Amino acid sequence: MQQTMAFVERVRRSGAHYQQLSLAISPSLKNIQPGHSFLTPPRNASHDPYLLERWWPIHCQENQLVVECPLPNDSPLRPYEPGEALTLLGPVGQPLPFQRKLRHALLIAEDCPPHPLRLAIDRLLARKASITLVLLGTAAHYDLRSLDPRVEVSLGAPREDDPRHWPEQVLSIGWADQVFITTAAEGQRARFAIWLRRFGELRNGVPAKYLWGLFTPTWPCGAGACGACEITTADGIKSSCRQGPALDLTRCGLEEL
Amino acid sequence: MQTRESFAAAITQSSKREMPFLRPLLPAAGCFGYGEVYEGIIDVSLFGAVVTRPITYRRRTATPREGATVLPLPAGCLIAHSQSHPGLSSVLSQHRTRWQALPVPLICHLSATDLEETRKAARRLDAETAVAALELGLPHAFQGEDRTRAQSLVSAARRRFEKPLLVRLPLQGALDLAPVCVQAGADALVATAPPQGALHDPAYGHRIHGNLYGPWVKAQVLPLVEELQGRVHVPIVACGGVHSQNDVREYLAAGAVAVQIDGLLWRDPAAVASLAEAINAEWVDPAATVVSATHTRDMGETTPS
Repeated sequence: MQQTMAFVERVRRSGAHYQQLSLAISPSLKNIQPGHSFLTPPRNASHDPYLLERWWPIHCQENQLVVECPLPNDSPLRPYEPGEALTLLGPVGQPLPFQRKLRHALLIAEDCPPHPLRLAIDRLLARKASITLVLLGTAAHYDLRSLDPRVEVSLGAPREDDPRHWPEQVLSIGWADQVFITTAAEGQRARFAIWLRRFGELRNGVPAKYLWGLFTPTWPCGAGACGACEITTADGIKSSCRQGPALDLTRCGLEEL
Repeated sequence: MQTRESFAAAITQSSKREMPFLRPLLPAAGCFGYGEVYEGIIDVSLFGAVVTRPITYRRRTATPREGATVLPLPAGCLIAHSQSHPGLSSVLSQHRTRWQALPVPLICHLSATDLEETRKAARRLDAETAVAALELGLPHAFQGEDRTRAQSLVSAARRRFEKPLLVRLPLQGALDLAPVCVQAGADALVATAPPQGALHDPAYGHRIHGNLYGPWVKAQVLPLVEELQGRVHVPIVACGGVHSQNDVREYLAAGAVAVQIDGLLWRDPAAVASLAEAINAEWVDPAATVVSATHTRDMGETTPS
């Protein structure tokens, strides 16, 4: 992890709730991978808000990074302006562990924008993998206009017996070589426990390194310094910021939830 | 009150060696990992010492329900830490080599939970050449009436650990516990552990207890540091809410020999590096050495019970 300066080059609106920032970044950050994120201190002297803001890259090329962050009307801070200098802490986390021969990826966003998965879409398409993106709950409101048309998008179709249902669910799960799920940070461990159970029922067992949860609780430091995002796994204690965000759900000991 | 001329502070433990602070700033336990997490962002030689995150003797695995939680507060946050700990053996095997190469002394923070474990951990750490001192963290739940237990824990560590022993006091009960800890053999006191608070967690629908961080913590700790000066005659290391140079100056002016930084490390590590540079330029005489008679503030000796 490094602490570097970035400069806002362009600000664009993205849907009703988000804005896209194009940032000129340090050349030392050029090797950004899907799964990496950045933290930025709020631009205020009053320490309110106190916690770092997290940004997921949605595109990255050369010395430019595009991130999506909440519009100022959802935030107490003033809008970003072109030319503004920012502090970036990152890259935070490890790259998503794609299989070498990944051909079909199932990406699921539940009750949150699919930001942590956006860069993965770019990179997987470049590898000629097919992608199904499932948007459940409030994720279905995400503005799809900036998505590559090659991505197959399924919106949730909740049923009484399965609130996480989507059309052709069994087929898309059957086809997938790997699944990556991002959910709202609130109650995330409980949500992943449900997903693990659900995939176990639908697939008659979940193999190792198949079902990955993106653990994205609030990260006060992003460096593994505070211990506030630790998850107990079969492989020991892991910081989701430093060793995640993607953790194999079959190793995470979520069964008690 | 500290002055530039008197700064290079040492916590002296008569029987073995002294713990020098050539610089007034230290990272607080639980905010700097095991000394490795901010490599490349903060030069550890800007600090007087490195304090590790809390370590327990035995490995402990938390249940998923005991997982860590962070809740935002106005100008701060509440952090309920995971109750998982890798255990002392695992920490030593993973970090010993790095600790030996540190350019500043290393203080191991040991969570004092159980008497027997405290005893075993203190003995083990005493044999570690990379460990310059021990910071014993008393449980947050300790109040004034827990004086006997606090005394037992500090004595247990003292008897097995010959190097300098610091004791981190919980905020509540600090004034009552401080003389007891000194009597039991503490060479210095850290005032204090983060204050405790509780908030309703909307995600899980129950109340979360945890540590509170934010600049306002200083308002609680600063008067305590001043009051402790009159009650005990060992060095006081201040800890809580430092977010600016003025915060550090106020703690040093209140009599603290050194100041630990907590939440600011997470929020803006580069700002901590700048803050340390500024404070070092102001307080540290570049010509001072640890053993210099004129620049070392001898904090006196304490007699282990």
